Amino acid sequence: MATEFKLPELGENIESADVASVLVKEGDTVKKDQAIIEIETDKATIEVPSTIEGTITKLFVKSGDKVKVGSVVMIVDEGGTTEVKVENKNVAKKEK
Amino acid sequence: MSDDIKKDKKTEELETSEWLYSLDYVLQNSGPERVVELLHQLQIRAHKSGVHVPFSANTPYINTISKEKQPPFPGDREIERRIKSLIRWIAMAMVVKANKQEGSVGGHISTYASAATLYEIGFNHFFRGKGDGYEGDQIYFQGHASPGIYARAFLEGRITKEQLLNFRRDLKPEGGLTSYPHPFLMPNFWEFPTVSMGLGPLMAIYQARFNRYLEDRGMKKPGGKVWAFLGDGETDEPESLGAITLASREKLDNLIFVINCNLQRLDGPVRGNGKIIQELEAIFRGAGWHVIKAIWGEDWESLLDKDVDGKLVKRMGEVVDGEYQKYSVEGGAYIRKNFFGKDPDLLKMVEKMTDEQLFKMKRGGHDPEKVYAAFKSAVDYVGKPIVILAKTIKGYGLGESGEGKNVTHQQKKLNEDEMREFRSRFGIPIADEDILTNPFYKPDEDSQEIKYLKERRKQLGGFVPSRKTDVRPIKTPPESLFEEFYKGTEGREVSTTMVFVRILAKLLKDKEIGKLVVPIVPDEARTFGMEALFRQVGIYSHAGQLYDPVDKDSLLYYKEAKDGQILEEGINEAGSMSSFIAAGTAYNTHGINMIPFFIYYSMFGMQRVGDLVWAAGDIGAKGFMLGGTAGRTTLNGEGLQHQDGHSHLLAYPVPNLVTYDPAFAYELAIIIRDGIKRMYEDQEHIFYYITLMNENYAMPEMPKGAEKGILKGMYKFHASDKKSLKLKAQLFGSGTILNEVLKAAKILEDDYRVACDVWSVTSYKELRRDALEAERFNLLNPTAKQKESYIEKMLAKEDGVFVASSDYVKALPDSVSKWFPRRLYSLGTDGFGRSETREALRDFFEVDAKHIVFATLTALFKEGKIQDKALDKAAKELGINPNKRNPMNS
Ligand SMILES: Cc1ncc(C[n+]2csc(CCOP(=O)(O)OP(=O)(O)O)c2C)c(N)n1
Ligand SMILES: [Mg+2]
Repeated sequence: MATEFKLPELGENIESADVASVLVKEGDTVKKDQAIIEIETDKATIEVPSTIEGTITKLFVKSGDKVKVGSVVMIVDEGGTTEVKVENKNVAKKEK
Repeated sequence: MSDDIKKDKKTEELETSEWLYSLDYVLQNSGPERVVELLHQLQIRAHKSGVHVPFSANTPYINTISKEKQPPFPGDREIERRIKSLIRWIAMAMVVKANKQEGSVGGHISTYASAATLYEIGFNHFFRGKGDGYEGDQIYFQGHASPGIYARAFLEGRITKEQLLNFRRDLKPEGGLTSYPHPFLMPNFWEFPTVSMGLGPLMAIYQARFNRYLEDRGMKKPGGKVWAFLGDGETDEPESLGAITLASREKLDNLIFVINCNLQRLDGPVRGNGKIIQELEAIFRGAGWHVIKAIWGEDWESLLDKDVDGKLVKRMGEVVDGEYQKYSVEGGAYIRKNFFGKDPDLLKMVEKMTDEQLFKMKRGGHDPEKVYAAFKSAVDYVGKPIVILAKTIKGYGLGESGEGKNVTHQQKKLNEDEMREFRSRFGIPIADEDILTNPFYKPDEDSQEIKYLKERRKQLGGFVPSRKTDVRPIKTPPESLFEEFYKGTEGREVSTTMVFVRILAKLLKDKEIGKLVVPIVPDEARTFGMEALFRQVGIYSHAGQLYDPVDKDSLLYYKEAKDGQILEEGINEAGSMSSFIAAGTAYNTHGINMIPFFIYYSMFGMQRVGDLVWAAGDIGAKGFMLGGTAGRTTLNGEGLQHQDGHSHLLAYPVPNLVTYDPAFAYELAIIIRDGIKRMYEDQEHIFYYITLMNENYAMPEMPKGAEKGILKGMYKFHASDKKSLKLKAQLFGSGTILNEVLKAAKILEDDYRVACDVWSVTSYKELRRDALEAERFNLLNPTAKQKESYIEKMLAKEDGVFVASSDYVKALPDSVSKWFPRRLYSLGTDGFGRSETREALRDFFEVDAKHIVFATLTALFKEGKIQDKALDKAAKELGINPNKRNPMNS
């Protein structure tokens, strides 16, 4: 099942932020609480953790982007874990 | 008296006794809790009907623990009395001897004399050592009671006779005893520096809190008490009482204050016209502490037994402290006339007692059983911090030579007769002829006294105070953790504060040392962009989080947790600094290398809590103090009482405080990594002060080979490639002002044909200490091979004029200028700050690029390198106003 992960509410009075770095790539498996991107407000750098688990099928942000709270950061396939692992191996192979 | 009034009075008396009878009945049949409930109900009913019961936080002026509730005394009173007498004697003799030498060195007799029973009950029955299986207590001894603590250690065999003779002679080659508790000078003995009055109780509160923090985070076994002994006069220091509500809020029942209420301070009575015990009782009860008063000794309590109509309690309550002090000086006849003489019934109570008996009736703090009962009830008490208010006599036992006298605090010389009297009063087996020459009597090792005292300490886990200084070092986190900062930000503009928070976040995640990191912040986390840490590691709260925070749905919500790691201290720099000290000394209090990072508004550090910083140096606290929003012109808008341009100067005197004012991300990373290495891997007894700024700019990549210079205090950041230019300048900059220096260098090269090398000065203090070291060596060893300071080495071959600029007072560069090969011109921010923009501020304080350019040209002019006409032209081009008002005095 594909699920959208949106930039969560960051804190009071923060509506958008700059992406400082992207810590994952399409095809990666992500766990709950794993940091996905690092964003920067004018005062701080904040790691944004994932709230879902699965394989990233699509990533919408890159370093330097300005993202709004609520905009979609990535789509994750929350399929069964074994399937994900297989998928992961394939990715590794492809890269070789 | 009219019949009517008489009748009314009779009815009232009847009514009163009926109510009292009812109360007795309920107490007997349903117990004390029911009595409390009924009284509470009565109070509510009265309040509802408009009867306002006057508020009083006080209980009557008698002991909190009644005779019936007093536990049996477990010790041997006779042996304990003999031990205590010996300690009294030795403590007195060491001070007297110290002051009979040439160049009298001072010392106090009367404080310990009044507190002896309080300490001895602690030593024989309560204070826990750190022996196997014990968590150990932390004991804050009252500073000027130290002679008594040394005297006991002498009997325990931990201190030699020679050391006693060297009391207050720290420099004696065979070792001396330091005046007061100073861990720096006696690192194996003293644990807590207390003698700057008020700091002891404040630090004790935060120590107890930090112990809880470690327990809640699963890093320490529960157990151990924190004892703080303080003087009643000491409670006038705002620091003594300023944090007591933290202790009750956090339910620190591991904390016990013992206030020695001898009613006197240095000059005279603490509250001549009032009652210090009642005043303190009200304060502490109001703040939610459990208060135990030990006012009267056994003999007084026997009198209280006869006091059926409450007249004695009433009289005890109405006499003021100044009068009580007089009783301790004037004797029994005076007490009979002035205390008991107020009422024939009271006089009758003591008619069978002699004057001498009256005079000898003890106060609670001199009665071992009362003190034992108070301490026992304190250590068993659950749910609140405890304060014991013990009434004593200052200079107790000194008799004519000082007991209760206004001058007793400074009594340090007794003549031979007075010593003889003291000796006899306390039954010390010393011959008359030895009294002056050889007073330090110690019974044989197998005497009852020594055996008893050692056995008691063995049972309680070993000797106190004592301090272990050996802990296992930790490994400095690898370079890889810091590497990203060496690379620069590739044009992204950030502040050193942001860089710091990022370093901190990474350290917190580090598998090896992450859990040892203690972020401490006094209500400024958002100012420094640290709110992401709230969620990452949580804010410590013993109670957890009992409410749903308003921002619960957002990523950076205000998360409090029982195992939270951040100490959010509220607006409280003194408390934060005390937490810093507790965390920074965990390596020897608990054998854990905790690493505190205390970040605060730099203006409210050195000048606000300087005395605590000094104490941190003495105690050997480790960790990082981070002065945020630093720099007189960098923190703009906030004005005169916020913009700090001098904390670095105030940090100069603390001998083991290493300070830096870094400009770039890589400098900060190098400094923090080295700090962790020096403090926790190499185990140096130093701590750090680093300033952080909130101005955003691109962080450059670290020049090759800069590390050493960053740590030594300066390095060449940029060497000019304009080899053909004839004029040359060496420009020095620190913190954000380094950017202005870089701008100035460009203007000088482009517009004025002056080639400029630019140096980053990360620490004038480090530079100065290095140079002082060399200079001192050379002064003492003029014929040996002379040493060269780092500054001299670095600048020997550099051409041109020298100009240094920083966001701090000019005294910083001036403090190292004499080691420069030629004159150093200093620019800085002397004067009160202003609310303004950065640009306007840097113009006002003359530390912006144009003033740096002009100062450089002026320096060249003075050296005869350029003409006055060129200078005039430059002034016009740059917009320099020579008649501008001086920021230093405007
Ligand atoms: C901050 C500070 N101010 C002043 C002193 C000097 N001083 C040392 S003891 C003392 C009087 C202490 O009186 P109290 O606290 O009642 O203690 P006591 O000796 O009566 O037990 C003073 C003023 C000090 N040590 N620290
Ligand atoms: Mg006192």
